[in-house]
Amino acid sequence: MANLEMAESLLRVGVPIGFAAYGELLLERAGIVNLGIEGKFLLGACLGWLLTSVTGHPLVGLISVIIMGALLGGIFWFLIDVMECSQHVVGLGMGFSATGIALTLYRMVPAEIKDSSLPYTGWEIASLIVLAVLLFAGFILLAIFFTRTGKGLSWVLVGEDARAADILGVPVRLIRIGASVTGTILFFIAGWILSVLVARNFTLGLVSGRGWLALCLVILAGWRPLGVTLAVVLWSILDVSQFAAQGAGMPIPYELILTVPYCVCIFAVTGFLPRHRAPTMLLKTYNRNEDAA
Amino acid sequence: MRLAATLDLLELRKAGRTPWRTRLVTLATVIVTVIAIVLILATTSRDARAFVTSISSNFAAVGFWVPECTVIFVPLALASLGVGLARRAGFWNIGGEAQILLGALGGFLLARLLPDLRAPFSQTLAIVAAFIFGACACGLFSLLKTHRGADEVLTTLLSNFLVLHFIAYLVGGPLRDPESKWIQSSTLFEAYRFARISGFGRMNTSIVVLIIGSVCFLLLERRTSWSTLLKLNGDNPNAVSALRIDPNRVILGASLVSGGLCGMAGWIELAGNQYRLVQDLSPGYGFYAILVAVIGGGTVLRTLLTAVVFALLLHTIDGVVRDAGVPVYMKEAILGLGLLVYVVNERLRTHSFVVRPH
Repeated sequence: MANLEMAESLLRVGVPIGFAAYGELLLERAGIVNLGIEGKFLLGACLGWLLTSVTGHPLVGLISVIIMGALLGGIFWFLIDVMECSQHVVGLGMGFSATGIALTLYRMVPAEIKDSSLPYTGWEIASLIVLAVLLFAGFILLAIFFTRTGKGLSWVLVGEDARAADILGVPVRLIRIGASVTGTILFFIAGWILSVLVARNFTLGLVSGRGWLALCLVILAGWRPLGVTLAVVLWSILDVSQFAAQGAGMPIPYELILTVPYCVCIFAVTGFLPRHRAPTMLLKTYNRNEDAA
Repeated sequence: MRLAATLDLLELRKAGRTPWRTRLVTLATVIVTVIAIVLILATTSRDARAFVTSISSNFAAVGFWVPECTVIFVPLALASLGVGLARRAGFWNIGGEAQILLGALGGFLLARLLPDLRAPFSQTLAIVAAFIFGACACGLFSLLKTHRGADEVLTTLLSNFLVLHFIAYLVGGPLRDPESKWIQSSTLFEAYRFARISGFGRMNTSIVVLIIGSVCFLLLERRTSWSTLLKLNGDNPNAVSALRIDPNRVILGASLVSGGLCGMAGWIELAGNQYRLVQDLSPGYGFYAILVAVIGGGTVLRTLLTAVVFALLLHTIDGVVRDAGVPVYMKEAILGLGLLVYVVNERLRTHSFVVRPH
């Protein structure tokens, strides 16, 4: 029985972060860093929860967060690729805006909706299992896509050297807008999973750093799909086992465990790890009309 | 392929940086931003009348809002000067929040170590400790950038959460006040606090630190070659190398001062305003400082002026949050929108966006 509960907690921790990490991985391999994951995660969670509890249909929440994600992904792409603004600033700016809008929205919701959490219907855990399987399959397919297919190689090439890709006739902008939109949609879906399937409610501290964590996991896994899978699984195990350890009276402060992925991530980007190399185009803008420097 | 071809039609073209264009774009941006902020705040408040009354009553008594604004202004201005200095040298310091918390921790630990120190020494030493703690937190990442190629935006950004969790651990564990039911440290000794100036509300003597700091900064900007070196390094590190000066050392120096100033800001917030270490000591000063610094454009006077405007803005928002029921999270949305408006404005001042004709 304990094992079943453990497995359930693993799903509850791992699936939302896994989806967010998947989105960030897609983006980063196309040379784009989105520092607004946390805010989009939160906005997705808030919108998903709100529309689900108002209409009573989780799918309405899901569809609306997908539309919202596509919209914000498009804006993000427009600002960084057409307007050529700094990815850092746009990402942080959109992240802060999304956080502010989500929490403001939550404050303006009438109290009777706020107080009633969604009832457990029993299908949540089933959907989580399905989503986890999808996620695993997705990561494996992504690994095959990036290394064994022509389109995947083009995608990776856009992240490594956009000019070379452009000369080869790869539609650079199409891939980058595809990455922005799908990535952002995945952040929003991650939020929907967290509020509608896992917590069955929305609270102010619901996301509490999961977005940043997803970013860390992608980086410390060295931008490799299977590495990210492993990182997500390891983090879920660490997170769940620390709860179990605290229940058993072992005093490891949770705050210190939370610092571990950040430490490892900072260590990872310093280049001390073997075979750990970021996509070259990361954070750079590509303008086909300008000569190469 | 049709979509790919359409996407390629959108482009940004360099337009002449004519004065009227620059001014018009900036003016339009400012007007749109102000209208947007007022609209957002007004629509989220309970009713429009409460909103207007809150703003007018907030600014009716000069003796009230000036001291209140300085409480926000002093730490914000210090952090912004710090972030701006590093930005000038080509180093994005996004870790202001971490350095603020660590600076506060540094001063607080000193106070714990030397509880019997008398007033002027205690405050001076605590500021030095805060500076050192903040400087180390930022200098480390500049070394990682220059020697290991680690992107400083990412590392300093992540350091915020690292430190936040670490401080949460400290105030919840080793430094926790055993008598308090809240998760916070014990209160700071009297000798270490910045005294309140009587008759001026919550305004305290930490403003002296800011004045001294600003004067030093102005002298640094106007009278030393270091500031030229910083700007040169930000624009073109090769030029610094050509002068037989190691650009890495310029960045290290700038980041040490930058982190140190943020650390001082944190200590001032602790010793001048809150008197105890808590996890949410900084109401986002480290992030606001980025916006203030980029709008301030790296010069001391413009940065200070921008910080004044932001202090007024934050104070106004605090007022309408308290009186008119505007959600406090509006601050975060405004910060984010401000960053976006800023970058788009920067682009449009020199470029125009066109759809290329066939």
